[in-house]
Amino acid sequence: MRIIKALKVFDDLKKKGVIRDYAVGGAVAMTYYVEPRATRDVDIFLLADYEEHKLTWDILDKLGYKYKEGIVIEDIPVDIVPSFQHPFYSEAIRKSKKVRMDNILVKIFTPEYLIATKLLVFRGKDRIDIFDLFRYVKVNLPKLETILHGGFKGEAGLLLKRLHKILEEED
Amino acid sequence: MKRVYSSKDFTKFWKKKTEADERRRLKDIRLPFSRKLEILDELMEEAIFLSELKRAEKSSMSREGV
Repeated sequence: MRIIKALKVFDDLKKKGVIRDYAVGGAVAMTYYVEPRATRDVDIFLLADYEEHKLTWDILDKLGYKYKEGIVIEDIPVDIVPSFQHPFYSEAIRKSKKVRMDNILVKIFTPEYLIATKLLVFRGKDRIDIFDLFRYVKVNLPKLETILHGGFKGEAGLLLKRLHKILEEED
Repeated sequence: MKRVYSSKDFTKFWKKKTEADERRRLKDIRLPFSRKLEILDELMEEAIFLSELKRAEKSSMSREGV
């Protein structure tokens, strides 16, 4: 399976000490919690500063994986989001849930951190995903609110407003 | 004679459809993760193909000056 093959590349890089850690968000994480939904890429959140991120790209390039709407690994476009882009990502990666995929253990964002990333982007499909997570998965609301208060500072107000709007629609 | 459907018929039909959709959905949600990943892999292949098709159409239109 191509998704697993792509994730194995990151697993190998982690085992070799090239990358410190990573976690999967987006559609793959959504598929774990609810049902599969169409996507064009795999979202990998990489625990990395600017230099480590650049080094990862260089190594992937040397391995023959080229850029085309995200870096294409094993025929799958992968969107690599480095943790230096937002302080919240490091915490989300550290607190991810370990899930077995084939013969590798992959870290997947917990529902609360997954919702937080979706509140940040907040496109139409993100709203549907948040709605579904609340509907079908046990989401710890106080924990999610703490994450939003602690990890987003200036953006917390807006994200909480978005969250409560969805919760009202759900009722 | 053609049957005339009432709003009551529609409500009944819609309720049945919604319940069936929900049952199907719950069945998909409860599938093993490995099976769900196989489905995701297929969905991704379709999405990538469609996106490349769109891009090819766009570039051919711009070449033709449309």
